[in-house]
Amino acid sequence: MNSNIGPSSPAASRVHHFKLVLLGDTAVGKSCLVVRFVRDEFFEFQEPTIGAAFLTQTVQLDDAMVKFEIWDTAGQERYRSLAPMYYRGASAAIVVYDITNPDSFAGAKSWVKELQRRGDPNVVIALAGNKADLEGRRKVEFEEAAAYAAENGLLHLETSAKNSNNVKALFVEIAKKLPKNPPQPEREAFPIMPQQPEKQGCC
Amino acid sequence: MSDSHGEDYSLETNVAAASDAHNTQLRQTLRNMEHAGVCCHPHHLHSFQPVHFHLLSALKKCACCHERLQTFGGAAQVVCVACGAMAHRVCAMSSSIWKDVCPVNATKVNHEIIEPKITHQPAVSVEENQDHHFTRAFSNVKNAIGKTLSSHPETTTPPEGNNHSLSLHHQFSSVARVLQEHIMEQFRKHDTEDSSYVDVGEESFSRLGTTAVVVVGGIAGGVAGLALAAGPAMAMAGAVGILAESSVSVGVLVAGVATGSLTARQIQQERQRQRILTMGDEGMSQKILLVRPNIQMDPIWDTITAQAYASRPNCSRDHHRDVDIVKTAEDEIPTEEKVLLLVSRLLNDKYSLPGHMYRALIQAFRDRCTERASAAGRFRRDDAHAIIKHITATLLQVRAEFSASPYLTERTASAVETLVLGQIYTLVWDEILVETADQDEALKQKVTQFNLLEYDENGTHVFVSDKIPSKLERNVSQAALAAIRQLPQCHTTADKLTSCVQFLQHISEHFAAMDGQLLLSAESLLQMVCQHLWICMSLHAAELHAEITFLEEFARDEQLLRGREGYALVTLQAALHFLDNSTDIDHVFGTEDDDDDDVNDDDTFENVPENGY
Repeated sequence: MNSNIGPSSPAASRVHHFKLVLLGDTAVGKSCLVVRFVRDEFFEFQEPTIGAAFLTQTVQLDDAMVKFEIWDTAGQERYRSLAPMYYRGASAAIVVYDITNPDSFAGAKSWVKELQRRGDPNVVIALAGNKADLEGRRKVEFEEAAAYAAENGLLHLETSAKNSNNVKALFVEIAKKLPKNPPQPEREAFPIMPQQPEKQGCC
Repeated sequence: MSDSHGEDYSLETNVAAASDAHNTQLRQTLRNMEHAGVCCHPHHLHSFQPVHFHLLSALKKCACCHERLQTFGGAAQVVCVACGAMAHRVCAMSSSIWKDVCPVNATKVNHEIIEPKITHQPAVSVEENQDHHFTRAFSNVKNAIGKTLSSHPETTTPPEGNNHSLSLHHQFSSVARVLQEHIMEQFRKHDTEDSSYVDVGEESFSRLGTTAVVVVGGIAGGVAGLALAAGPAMAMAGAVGILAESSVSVGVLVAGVATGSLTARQIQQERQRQRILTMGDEGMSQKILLVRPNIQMDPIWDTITAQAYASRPNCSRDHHRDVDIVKTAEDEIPTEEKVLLLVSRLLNDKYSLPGHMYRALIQAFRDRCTERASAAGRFRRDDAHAIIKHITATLLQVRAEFSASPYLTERTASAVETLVLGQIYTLVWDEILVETADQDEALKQKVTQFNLLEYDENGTHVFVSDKIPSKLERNVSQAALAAIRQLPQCHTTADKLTSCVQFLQHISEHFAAMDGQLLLSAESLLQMVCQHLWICMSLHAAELHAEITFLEEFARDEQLLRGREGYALVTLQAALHFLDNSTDIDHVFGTEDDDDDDVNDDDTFENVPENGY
């Protein structure tokens, strides 16, 4: 399936909106990942954001356009209890870990577990092994993470925010997996209908 | 059915006990649907739908009173989708003055079966018969609308060789689409939520019957498909209650007073969760939350609304003067503003039905606040929700355009909310202030206590200060503080959420300018929000808990969950929660952890190209 970023085809009118939340331990590169995805693909009509914490980006699929509303979260342990406020109502989640840090992979597992327990039952979860460019410092084997993802029904990719490898693919794969309900138009005109006066009664 | 069935028994008894002519109509309509596959009025057998505009109306006469209909002005009209006969809407509602029946539907419906013999049977038999018919009709209707429900086989599986399904489907196709949607929604609710009737045989009948009454009661009581644009004459109080509370497209189904009050009570008791308006075809329906699911509205508002409706002005209102707003180009007046302008115009017109209801309900709210001045709790907020709901429902019935799409309905509800809260904000706010006073006071105490201390160069607390700690002054965005201080001046959720977004954006921009960063990560942002709220509490007597409570109370889910406004609100909620649970100032300002102290941590994008990770 082909995919592009930004509105470039007639199908642009069919926009599906999804809330996507980024989860993972601190310093695994969550913000880097999403900013790489959003900023590398310039979108003329980019909406205002709140730093790297709240961003939007659109993915063009063959049959639909998916607009992600990306919510970054704080990964520090002291903010951990606040995460449910952020992932409430999310259609998709990217749980990020650092392939050079096995603790972050353990943390990712706990995020997945929490999402499965407390998140939306239909949430699409992707497991992203970030910093894949640091192959020489790898501590989390691809096979191990892939097996865990398969076991839990997760998408799994290794990404590099530094060289953009698999970043776009990650979001496209999520976009493909999300259900596409008939979208509502972004803007619509106020209907003009013949009116009846409010006068009541007859006969 | 035994007493042990509790609520089911009482509900079933209620249904059976209402063995008046109206309930007879319900049962007859059900039987017609079941036996003949026709959804029609039980007496005159027409399947009426509203006519918004009919050029040839003037050439036709009302099939009931035989007076000539009018193309422009005049009374609201309906047309039978089976035979094409037209009638005044008020005539269509009347059972007694009809002399003829629909010739098309009459060939399908054996008129004998609609005689109200059943109402003269003993109560037990009535219930059994009623349950039987409700059950079978339920089954047939589900088959007719193509639902694949996995409920109790006795209630869902059609009998072998049942040949009613196809014809029923065909007939339902001819009935108003919106009515079908309503029916589907009702049964979907049963299918997904009400497991009791799936698991228990006979006991399920009462709930099933209740739903059938809700669905079919609308048909029998108000004539199938009489819909919103037909005007307010049928906007009876009970119906408004039903429409806004039972997942019905508002204004789609108009029930009679008796049915309305009965079903409204049942829904009020049983289905508090169902206050979502569903619009659109099956599979593509969108839900619009008109009233938050946790809101418990006092049933007295049904009475107040009915009284307000009864005292409505008789003057007519010419909607044509709204053309100046409606036909203005979208780039000149965006749709959202058009909705607000139209709603505002309608509500400000005391001779319009919505304007009259608006004034009456606001006055009733104020009277109740005076009467219950010493009452604790949250009745003012619940009453405010009730007012918003009833006025929105009235508007949607009077003006079809407002319900043309979920987006417009959402905007309409928001406009009503804005105008209503503009009238009663202070009263509602006072109630919230009382509720959150302890939380705000506790946070103020904590802030005051911590602000007695400031750090020296060695990180030791050294002197008393009620100003911003000097080490933090550089980090403080005055624009962000100004934005958060705007909250008390904002009296609507939209305005307050805008201030919240500005607050976050100013913080983000401040740090981008200060450190040459492009983008602030969520981690750093949350920390800075905590610090700014802290400073705000220390410099000003901010009632942050009250502000957040107000937003949680009145922002609809779309606003809470989506967009920058949603993110801003969640971040403020999270920060406040964090401050409430912080045990020392180091925890708030991150000074105990070097990694946390630096907003340029390696989770910030700008470090990537230069420093790798």
